[in-house]
Amino acid sequence: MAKGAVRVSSAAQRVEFHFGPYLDTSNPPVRLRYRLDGFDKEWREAGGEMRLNARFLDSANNTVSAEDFVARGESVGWAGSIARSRFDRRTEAIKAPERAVRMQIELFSGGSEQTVGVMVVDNLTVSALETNGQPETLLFRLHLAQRTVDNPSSVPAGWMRDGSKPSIARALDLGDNSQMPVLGVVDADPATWGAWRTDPGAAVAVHAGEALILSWNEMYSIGWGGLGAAVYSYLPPGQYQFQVQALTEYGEAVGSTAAWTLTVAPPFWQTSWFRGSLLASLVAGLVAAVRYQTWRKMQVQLEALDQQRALALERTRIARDIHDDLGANLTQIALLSELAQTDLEQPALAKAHLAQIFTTAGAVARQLDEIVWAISPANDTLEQFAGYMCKFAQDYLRVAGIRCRLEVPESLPNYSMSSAERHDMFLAAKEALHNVVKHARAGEVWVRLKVDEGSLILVIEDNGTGLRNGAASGARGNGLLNMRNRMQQHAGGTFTQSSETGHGAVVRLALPLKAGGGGRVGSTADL
Amino acid sequence: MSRPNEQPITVAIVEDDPQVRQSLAGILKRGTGVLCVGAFGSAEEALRELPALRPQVGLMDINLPGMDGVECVRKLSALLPEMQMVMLTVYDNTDAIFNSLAAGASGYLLKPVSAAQLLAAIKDVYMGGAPMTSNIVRKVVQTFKQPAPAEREAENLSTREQEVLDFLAKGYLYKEIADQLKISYGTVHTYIERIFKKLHVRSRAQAVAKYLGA
Repeated sequence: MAKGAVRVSSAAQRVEFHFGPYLDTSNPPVRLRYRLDGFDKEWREAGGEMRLNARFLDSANNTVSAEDFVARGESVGWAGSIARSRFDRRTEAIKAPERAVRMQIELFSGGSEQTVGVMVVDNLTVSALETNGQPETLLFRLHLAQRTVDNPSSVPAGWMRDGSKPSIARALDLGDNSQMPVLGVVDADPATWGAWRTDPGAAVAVHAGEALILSWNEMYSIGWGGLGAAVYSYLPPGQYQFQVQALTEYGEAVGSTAAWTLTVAPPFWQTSWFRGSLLASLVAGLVAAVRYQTWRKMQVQLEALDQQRALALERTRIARDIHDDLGANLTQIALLSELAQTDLEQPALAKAHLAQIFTTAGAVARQLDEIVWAISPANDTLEQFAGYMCKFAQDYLRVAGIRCRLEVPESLPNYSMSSAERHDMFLAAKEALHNVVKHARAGEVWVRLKVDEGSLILVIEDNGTGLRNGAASGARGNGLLNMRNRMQQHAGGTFTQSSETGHGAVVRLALPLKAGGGGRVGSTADL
Repeated sequence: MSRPNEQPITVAIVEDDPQVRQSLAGILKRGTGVLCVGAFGSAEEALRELPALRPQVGLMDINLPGMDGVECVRKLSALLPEMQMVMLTVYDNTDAIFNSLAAGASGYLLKPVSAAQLLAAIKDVYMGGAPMTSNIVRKVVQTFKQPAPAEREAENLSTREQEVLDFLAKGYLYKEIADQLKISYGTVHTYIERIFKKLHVRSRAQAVAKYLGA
């Protein structure tokens, strides 16, 4: 008996177990059964068959033909031993061939060489079937004389033994006190065979073409005694045990079981470490996804906050501008109304006040216009800015009596400007024009607008007295600071002022632009 | 400039704000040489009544409830081609102003407007004046950039008209253009009038083409 273990991968297509009796002992096992525990539900045997054979002879005792009726495994009624088992009745039909005159019956123990086991037959009858509706005619009945019971090796009348080991053929006692022996073959040697055969003289007489019915009681337990092989294909992953057990020739277990454990490794995707790591990575992935989502949300929130902050800054700036200019004008209107009231007795004076109220109100309207224009998202294109800028310059300079010359390309590229950019650019230009009107003593002003390498360039040039020594002080100095600040509020925005002696001043405002219409997010509702 | 006859200029008002409407009517009542023949609160009302009244000048608010001022101008210039329209607007909205000018208006004023400004504008527009501030000029220039198809050659600007337009684009005032081209101020005015008429025609043609899905 051998014990061992083997492990195969899930890719294994078939596993073969080769087993056999260990012959170097005094009592080697005669019959083996096996099973793969975990796969086979029942014990199996590697083979083995015995036969009941009907042979047709001609008048010269030559074999014309034969029919084999095979017995394998265990009969239904088999219960572990001859005494405990019961017979099953078996009926077969055969036809006597041409030239057949008699039929010989044989009980044969060696369907294959290594067959071991036992087969017992009783009450064998042969009948001829009448074609004309008549019942069967009994031709033969197995019959053993009583006296043969005492000696299992004695030969019942009409029967003879055969085989490499004739003692295999026996007359057996069923132990039911019937005192009627039965014929059996008990083969406990894989290397030999034995058989019962009817004497030629006692053979059944038949006619050619006769339809015959063979009927007998049988019980058997047939197995395999030699080397065997068990093949298993595509075993599912798991733990198995291949067991081999020794049996007696009657099929009863004897001795201990030999066992080999077989482990079929699961494919890697079924192993627990793989599943574990998969689960872990899934969980990790889930966690990562959730954290990313959170991060994204935070980013979006941060962006929103950034935008809100930018808008808030714009609001403050515009509010400041509104307060500075508009506030002053409205205060002025209030003052003038009061003055007009007190000066009602002097109509000319009152009239002057009222006229000024009107002018100031007009100025307030213009300022409101500017603010609305600056913040309205509909006005966020470069084209809009150019139009507005030109009109303002023209009106402003005309009122001041200065000639205005515009140089603007007929069509401008589609850039967008945010409210803040428009607002600051416009106010810086307004400041520059204001300076020209107040200080430059110029007769002509050029307003040149163009787009150069993605930047808006606005140049305001006058033919006045220019800057003195390049220095600017006092009110003019403040204005310069304002302009510079306004332009530098925006990334890349610049302000330069220059003049050549004898010529007027040139103010250059530059602002990098972003492509496409749309401007920054924001609407009048936000502001 | 004296007018050929001494009849007051008939003026109609289309303004949805009742207070402003009243003030405008008041200015017209007190002014000399003008007569208010009707004051309406909506474009629809105006379109119903004006054909019968046939005023010479109309004061039209750009922002009207229902049909807006620009659309009303477009319809009126078809119904009453002789009527001159002055647009009134609170905001200096270049697009809206240009559109109304292209639709047939002859001038525009920014509110609040003084009596003097208003009366001057009415008389000016009656005389055929047309405003050409640089932002409007830009848009006019852009409109005329595409040449008209051969069968509508008349819609293209003449050489002289193109010259005038170029000067306007450079920021020259009517007076300065007159000096440059050695023509009279009145002639400059005439050229501008013609430019505007062609603008009306062209914009009408464009509107029709657009309507026809061309």
